[in-house]
Amino acid sequence: MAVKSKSQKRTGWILLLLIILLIFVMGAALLFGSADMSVKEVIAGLFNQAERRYVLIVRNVRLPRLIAGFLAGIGLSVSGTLLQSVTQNKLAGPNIIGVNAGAGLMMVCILNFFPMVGKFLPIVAFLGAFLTTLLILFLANKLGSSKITVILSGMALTTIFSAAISFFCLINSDLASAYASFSVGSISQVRLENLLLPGIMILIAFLISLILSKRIDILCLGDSVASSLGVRVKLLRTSCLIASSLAASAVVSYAGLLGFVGLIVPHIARALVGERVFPCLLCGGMVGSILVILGDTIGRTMFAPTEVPVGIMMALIGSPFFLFLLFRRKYYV
Amino acid sequence: MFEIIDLSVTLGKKMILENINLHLKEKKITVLLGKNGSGKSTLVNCLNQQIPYNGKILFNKQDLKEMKIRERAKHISVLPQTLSCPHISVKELVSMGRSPYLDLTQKLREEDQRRIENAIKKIGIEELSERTLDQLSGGERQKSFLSMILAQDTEMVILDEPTTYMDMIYEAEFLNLLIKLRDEENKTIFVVMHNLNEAIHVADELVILDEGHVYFEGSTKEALDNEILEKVFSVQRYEMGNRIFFAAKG
Repeated sequence: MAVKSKSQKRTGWILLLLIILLIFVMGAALLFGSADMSVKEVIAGLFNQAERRYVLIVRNVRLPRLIAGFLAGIGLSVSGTLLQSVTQNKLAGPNIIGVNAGAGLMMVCILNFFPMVGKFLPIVAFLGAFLTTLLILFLANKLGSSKITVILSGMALTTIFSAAISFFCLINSDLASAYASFSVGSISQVRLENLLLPGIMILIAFLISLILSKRIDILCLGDSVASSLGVRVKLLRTSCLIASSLAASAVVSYAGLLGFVGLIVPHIARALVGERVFPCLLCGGMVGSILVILGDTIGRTMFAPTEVPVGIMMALIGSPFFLFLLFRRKYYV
Repeated sequence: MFEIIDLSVTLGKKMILENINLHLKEKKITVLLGKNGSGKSTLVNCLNQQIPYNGKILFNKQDLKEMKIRERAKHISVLPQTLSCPHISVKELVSMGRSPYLDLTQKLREEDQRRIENAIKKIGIEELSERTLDQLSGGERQKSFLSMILAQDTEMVILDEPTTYMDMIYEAEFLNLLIKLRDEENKTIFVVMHNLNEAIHVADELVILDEGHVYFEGSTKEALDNEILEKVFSVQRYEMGNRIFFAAKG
């Protein structure tokens, strides 16, 4: 609701700073890598005006990773923000709606029974994640669709699926290593053409969440008050869970399990711009993108020629930053 | 205006409310009393359409089950017993009261801004408006929620034990606010209470629930004349001047 306050001005400044930081990090991601390139060469490479090797490096390696990181940051932070808001549980992340376990189980099943269809793994992971969310929603709906039943249904299904993943990995050791790399999360193999569909899905989820954000704010007053204020709580919660799953599943389909972003970034966003969902979504999207792009850039340059997956780098960068925010200001978790 | 017809609620095999029939009087304060477990909060949950029930709840002859939720929110506001305490400012909370009148973008119009300012002023919480709910005392928080209800601008206000966590001074102040809402804003108020002494002070009408049934429905005077409260709650009546109060026997 458009109530002008000092905090809104502060939010404006923070968002502006984040935009500048995001542009700076994006520039760094294009500039730095195993091949030394000048700013001029990077720009020329982007527009197909440089030597062929520079064009290939910029357009086929660095740009896809940059876009993948940007989308992953937005998708996972949107997913986490929605989940934490509609379940009123600050520990919620994409894992509680079965995204991680669903994608993982579908992947190990396919690799175990139909190893020849490996190139369709991103689609398989997406389907596994999204269908699991639908199943959790179906179960929660049968039990009343309250925020607690959603969480409990998610936990129950996630436990079953995780046990099944462990079982498959136990009987087929090849699966264990494939699942291990999937579960760490990486955007090193991503190609531009693979990002179109996830990008559209993340954009749709982001737009839905922005449109619904003011209604989601009212949920913080509890289901009963929200209902008294004219909010269709069950419908809103279901719509948000589907949008959340859409965004997280899209990211899982090409980047594996980068669960950290979905859990921590909404907290960072709230510490920076407050509890309201609209600024949290904008701030979270940028913070998430900055973290993923920065994590990927550092991971592929700092220890070259060894590449550290973005999932590990993000945990190393994001967790201390999050702790810093916790110590720096009075923040209500 | 507000009628409850043959309302029954069953939880598992247990009948929580059985054949409740009530007719609430317009622009009056009706207090719902009952022992713990008599079904008071269940009745409020039915009025807010939070739990399934048999029977009918009519508002201006229209069944609440068939009324669109946003339409209902323009006529009836409900505050449950337990209120959450999010990290939002009082002004933001009060502005949420305008939610039923806004489109999906929830952009406030001039009229909404005016009503929000008036609601804050009427309840007398101007100095709290920039503070967040989690910084307020229980009493201040209840007043902030009451201000939200006022901004919601409904004919009917339902409150479930709003003074539970208040000390005596705040409780008296809050109940005077309810009287002000009735007299100056023409609200019909239905409030669940547990404090008999405050209830008889504020209520025009009393409804007493006992084990899921309506034991008494009528004016406060009628209840006092017929010693209804003494019978239901096993309390002793004392009188001091014009003031009546009750205390546990013994």
